[in-house]
Amino acid sequence: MSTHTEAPPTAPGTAAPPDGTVTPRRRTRATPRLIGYLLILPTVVVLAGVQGYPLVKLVLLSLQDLTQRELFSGLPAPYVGFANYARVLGDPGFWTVVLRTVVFTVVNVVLTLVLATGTALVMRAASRWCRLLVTVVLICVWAMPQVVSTLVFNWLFDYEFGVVNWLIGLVPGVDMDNHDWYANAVSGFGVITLIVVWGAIPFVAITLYAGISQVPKELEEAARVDGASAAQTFLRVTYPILRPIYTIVTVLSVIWDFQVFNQIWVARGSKPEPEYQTLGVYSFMHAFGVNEYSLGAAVAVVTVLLLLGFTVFYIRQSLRLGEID
Amino acid sequence: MKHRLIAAAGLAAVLFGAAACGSGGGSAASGGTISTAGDAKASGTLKVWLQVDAQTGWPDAVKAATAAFHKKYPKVTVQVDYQQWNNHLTKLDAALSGSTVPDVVEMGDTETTSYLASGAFRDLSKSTNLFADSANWNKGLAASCRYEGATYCVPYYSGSRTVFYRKDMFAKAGITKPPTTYDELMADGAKLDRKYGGDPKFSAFYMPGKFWYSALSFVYDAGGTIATKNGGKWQGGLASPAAIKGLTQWKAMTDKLSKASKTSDEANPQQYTVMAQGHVAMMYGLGWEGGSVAADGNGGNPKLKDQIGSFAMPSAAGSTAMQSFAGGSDLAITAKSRHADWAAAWVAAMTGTSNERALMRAGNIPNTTTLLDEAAKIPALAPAAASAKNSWMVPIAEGWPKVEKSLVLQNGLADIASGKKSVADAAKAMNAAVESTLNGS
Amino acid sequence: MATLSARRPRSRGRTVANVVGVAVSVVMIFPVYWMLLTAVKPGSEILTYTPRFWTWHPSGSNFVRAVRSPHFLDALGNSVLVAFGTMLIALVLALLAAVAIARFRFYGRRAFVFVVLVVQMVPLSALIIPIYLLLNSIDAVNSLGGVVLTYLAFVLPFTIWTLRGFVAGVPAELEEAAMVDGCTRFQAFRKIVLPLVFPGLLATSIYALIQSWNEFIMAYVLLSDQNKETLPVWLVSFVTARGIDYGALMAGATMMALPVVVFFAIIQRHVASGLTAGAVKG
Repeated sequence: MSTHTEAPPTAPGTAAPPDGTVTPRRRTRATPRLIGYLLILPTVVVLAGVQGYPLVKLVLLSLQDLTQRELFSGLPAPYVGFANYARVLGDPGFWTVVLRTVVFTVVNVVLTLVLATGTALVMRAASRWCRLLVTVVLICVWAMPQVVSTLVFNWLFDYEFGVVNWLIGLVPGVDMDNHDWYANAVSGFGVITLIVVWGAIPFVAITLYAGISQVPKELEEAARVDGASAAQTFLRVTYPILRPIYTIVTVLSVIWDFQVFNQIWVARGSKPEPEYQTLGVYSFMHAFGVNEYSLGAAVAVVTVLLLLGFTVFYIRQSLRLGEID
Repeated sequence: MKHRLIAAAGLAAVLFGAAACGSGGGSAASGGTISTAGDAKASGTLKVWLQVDAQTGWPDAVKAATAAFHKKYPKVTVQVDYQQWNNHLTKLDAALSGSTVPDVVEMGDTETTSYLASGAFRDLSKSTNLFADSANWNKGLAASCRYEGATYCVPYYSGSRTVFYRKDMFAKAGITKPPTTYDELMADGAKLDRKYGGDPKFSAFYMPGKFWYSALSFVYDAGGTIATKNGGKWQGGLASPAAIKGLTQWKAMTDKLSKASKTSDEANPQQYTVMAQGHVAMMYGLGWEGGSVAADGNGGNPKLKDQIGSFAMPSAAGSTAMQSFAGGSDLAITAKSRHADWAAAWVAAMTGTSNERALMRAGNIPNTTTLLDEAAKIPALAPAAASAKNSWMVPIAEGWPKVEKSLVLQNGLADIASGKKSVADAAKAMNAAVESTLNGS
Repeated sequence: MATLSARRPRSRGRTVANVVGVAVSVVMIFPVYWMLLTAVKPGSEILTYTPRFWTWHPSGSNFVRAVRSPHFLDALGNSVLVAFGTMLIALVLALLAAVAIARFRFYGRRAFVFVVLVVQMVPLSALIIPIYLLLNSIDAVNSLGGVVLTYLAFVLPFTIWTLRGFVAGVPAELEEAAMVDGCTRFQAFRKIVLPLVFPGLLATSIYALIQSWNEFIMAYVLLSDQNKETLPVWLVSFVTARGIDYGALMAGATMMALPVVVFFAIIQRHVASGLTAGAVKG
């Protein structure tokens, strides 16, 4: 059995049925194309309804100057062209924020993926009881309400009541009394990264584990017999099979980490210093938090474009993998 | 491909158009007179949004207000929903943009201005006589309801800060009476430090770096202001010599007497929970915080029950006491409310004299100067009541909420406290940001 | 089948994996443990300079206070309706759409995939007011149905994307073989694809459940009546301007997390059977 499982085998433009699945007996009446449309119809209705209108509204809003006055009265807001975009893109602080956000995203996504992959592999290699233990732990972590988990982390790293300071202080010769983790942005972002990655691991690890458990063990064993190291086996055999799943969790992690707001906001006691502003925090503080809805809409549109820019590689790859018509 | 994109755009346009029609109506005409005479036949639901503090702090007062309201409108259901400080404005904005609005909303007194300016609330200028003792409303709160000569809300309650101190620590350090001047405060702090300095966690005066209500009290005490209106334009006052003098005094006190974090504020963690741990001799807190230090639960420490006293924050400029920030809440009636009569009747009941007394018992400063004199007779509230008479308020400018939310003051103060910037540099930066935000650029 | 796969137990590797697994678990669980511990601590032991990692005086008073706080039962009922409703609808819709984009070819498929992806890139804070206005215009503000609809829109893109990956991971040849053996397309899907996609369905169902179970800001903004609020909104009422009631907050959070964990425990068994049923054994 070969490993090229993800790509439908039929080349486009041939006489074969366009859905790529060879149906030898032609039992089905409806054409595959129609079935396809029927299958996505409910989703299209929901997305067009609940996301379509707000998205159109958002783009329009970014070209207007909507203040609370118009918002409350329902009066039309004046159109201002690209003035909001000019304000956002012309703010030198904005580009610092974007750069900071990109670095933050890369660090968090890489850490999340590496640690989650490790967890998934450990789950597969471990005994049944241990796998169950890890699974239960992951689910408990995942199920913990975010409102509360961020508060708990705040507490663990608190200046006054911090449990972590106390624990580190047990090491002889180390004085961590009243150590301020947030006094410098590098150590502060270290803590925030910990919160974000901790919260992201359960989902990614469970998804990857579900994928890894689909990989036929025989393939990997064959590779090992041929003399491949564990790392080589993972990279050459396991990873290619899991690539569609990796693409998804990577793209999603990028999207989520790029927009992180809650963890930073709560960690900084809802008063983030300028050096803690990532795009999510920036847009709240400069736009929605101060009722500049139009500016916020422009920031949102720019965010989407930036994210598209960063994820275009993955999207293209994903479209290529079994997605080319 | 193109055809489908156009079709999608068309669909979206239809959706958008339909929605726009739907949300256009529904804004009730404001103006006209309000009558709270009562109507035994009127029925419906009055929607009230109060902050969560009332739910836990003074639920009886809310019940009493509704009972009084029902004497006038027996068939109207009163539905009180409690809101979170963190997100309530987001929810309010969304609600006010739609057609189902709350009739009464509670607003923090530094949050009101942009709502007053944008016509979100009902003009009550001609109806202030409906509310108890409205001629004697607490100055700071009343100012937060007034915009361009009209009154848009009703003062609800306020809080004012005093110093809470450990009587036992003072006694052991040989301090016989609370300080009344800044120099005495610093000297007493030094005495406390000598006595307790061996404790690495000890703060003679707990003062976190982003505690802006405190730092700006020093500014106002020294004769400075945040900003003043001058010929239609706001002029920043934080870079003035007086303001810098006040900030320098605050910084000196913070450096010498406090081990609190330079990057956190008075609410994270709540400073009473820190004092309850027993390593703090003084803190600058709201009326209720003194009681919370020794309360059972929520981080209080019942062992300190008889050890907490209070005194007014001494002035550094020779006044009797330092001015305190007039923080508080107002009750407003939304402009879109279809039941302004009921709403006004409920607000009148909630801010009525007997109800305000109930709020005083819960550790709040009442909404009128008349009641303030009564509050001065309650021992636990007396120092706070005294400092409430002598209070400062943020500029009543449409752009003020923006200044507050942009955190320029908190972050500027943290820079001062941590020494990242000199007082003068930080003051200059804060001043420039405040000025440009208030002038709407 | 099982007898054939008589593997040599690579015991050393397994021991290492077990040790690492336990270590990971201990580190990961600590914040959860702290939540549970705080929930059963008496008030005087909660906030202390010297942290207490154990309590000799466990008490249920925090739970009692949480349960007795206003609207707990309302919130519980609402959350169950909203979260499980969202999850079930999302799974059905997403599985259909995932099969469509993984197995069928039709015009606009790439555009659909693209839109589904882009939709997730829009920051939520930017959508609050537009979504409110939309639901206001169809009279769905302050209704649980409106919240379910909103959550569906946020959960669907992800569930579709994940499930698409799982469906695509099932070799089309398997289905073809089944159809050669006389299965209809639907039978082939039910007997071959569905069991193999099951782990994916599980992961996405938990995702959909947890997202809608824990979502705060949209629920807070959309539901104005307090008897309609969901658990996260109820939970935050323990955080007031006068301090945080950590005991009740953690007790409430524990009770809130419990149904999700129980749901997973129930579904876990099916995963095992789903895995053994799907025989990709070469």
